[in-house]
Amino acid sequence: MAHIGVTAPALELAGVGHAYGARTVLSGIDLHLPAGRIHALVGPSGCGKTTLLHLVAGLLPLQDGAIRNGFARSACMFQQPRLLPWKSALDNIALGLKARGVPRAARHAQARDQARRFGLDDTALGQYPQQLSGGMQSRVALARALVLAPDLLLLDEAFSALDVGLKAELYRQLLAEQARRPMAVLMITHDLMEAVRLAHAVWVMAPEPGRIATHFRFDDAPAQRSDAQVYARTAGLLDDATVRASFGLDAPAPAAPLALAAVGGLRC
Amino acid sequence: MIGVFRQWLAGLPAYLWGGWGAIASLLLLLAGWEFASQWLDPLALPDPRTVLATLHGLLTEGEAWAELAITGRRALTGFALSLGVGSALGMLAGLSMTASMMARPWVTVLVGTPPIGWLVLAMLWFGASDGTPVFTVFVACFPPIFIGAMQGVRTLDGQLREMAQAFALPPLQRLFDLYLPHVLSYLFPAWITALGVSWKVVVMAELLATADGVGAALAVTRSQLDTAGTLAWIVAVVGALLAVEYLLLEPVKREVERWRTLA
Repeated sequence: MAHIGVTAPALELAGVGHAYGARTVLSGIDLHLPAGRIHALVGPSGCGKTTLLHLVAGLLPLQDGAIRNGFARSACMFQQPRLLPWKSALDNIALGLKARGVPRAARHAQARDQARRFGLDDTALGQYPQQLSGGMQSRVALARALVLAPDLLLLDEAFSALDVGLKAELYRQLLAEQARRPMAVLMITHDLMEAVRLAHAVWVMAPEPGRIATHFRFDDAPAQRSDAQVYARTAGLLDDATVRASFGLDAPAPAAPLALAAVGGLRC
Repeated sequence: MIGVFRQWLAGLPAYLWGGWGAIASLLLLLAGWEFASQWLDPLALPDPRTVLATLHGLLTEGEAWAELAITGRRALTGFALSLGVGSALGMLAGLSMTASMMARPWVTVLVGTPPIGWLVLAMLWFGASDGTPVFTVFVACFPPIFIGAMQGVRTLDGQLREMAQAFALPPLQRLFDLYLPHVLSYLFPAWITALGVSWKVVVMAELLATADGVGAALAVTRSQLDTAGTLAWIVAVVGALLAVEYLLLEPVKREVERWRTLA
């Protein structure tokens, strides 16, 4: 693995493996995530994506290989909002700031600023999570992560339980945040279209044991991608033999295979 | 803390107003007592007015207040010790699967040992001092509090624990923002149970082991075959327990658990 420069922090995984008892869930994972880029890990359920993310987040002890996290601050968003039911939305957003020792007034001001960008007004901020709609709760969860100004954001199927409108809104907010300041994002998802819409690189994982099967680069800015482009690229990915094998799909139809390169995707 | 107290004060009138149902049901019980007393010998069951008059006499002469204060001090000291030690140890035990499994049989032994057994031991260890009732109350209150605290910690959502780890919450914040608010909903019912136990056990301990307090006064009324006096003391003790539970613990519980009722 290349030497990590001081100016460009990165996340590097080399030969990472993991086993629960005798069952190997991850083996030989190599991955490189530079600053300011969005990388997506896609794969079928049970391929070890979540385990991999937990290893990166330090929620599981590393068994095999090496993880070098050059980022100073990381934050997480999970599939469920995971808000504290006994704290107001505002205090939930400020939770990570409190953990860092930011004084009450300052952390509330920062949380309020972040919340306002997400369309959460003072009424919503004063309410407990169970008084908020599912969509509001997801916004609070994303705000709780972003208010920490992380330079590495880990998303664990963060958007997969949301309706299309809410998904689109949270994508916009994520990309807007990412445009304001460089933030690396490692997102795991089983939704290829979501990966293709947001990510600069898509790592496709195959199960048993979880490993990287192949990966693709998309060099244009995610915010600029049109729906048509996203559909075409998703279709292109779905025509790829390795991707199909990873998800356990039948071999691609031999009739007109879409060339992924023609719509801006590069196999690495 | 001051905020909680002010909210407690502000919520008090509405809370008391909401107590009419409870008062009506208590009055019904009183009516049943009066009805039964008409058919029974006054030595077996005096009517409530005689008992309340006796109680009134005890209170105006000042004797009752002194004895109640002594009994209350002992009960609340033992209860407070149990509350502190039981809650802390229970929460610690809840953090570890091994500790929970080991603690379970010990608690069963504690629950199974009759309070009277502890009382005899306490009399041997502490003699006629305050130590005897306080210790007996402590031991009797410990198991429900310990179990409540342990259950509370064990039932905390693993996803929230993981979230706290991911956001690197320091230990103290983890205690106050994550564990305590959840555990309190298990602790409050346990505390209320233990409070009731403390009053019952303290009177029993005093009856057998001390020369003052409500229990000792009951020993005197028993030897004088003074049923009205006995019932007057019982009413005084139950009244004190109700006051502590419904004027202190219950409103605090409502305030602390406000998040639960808003949905």
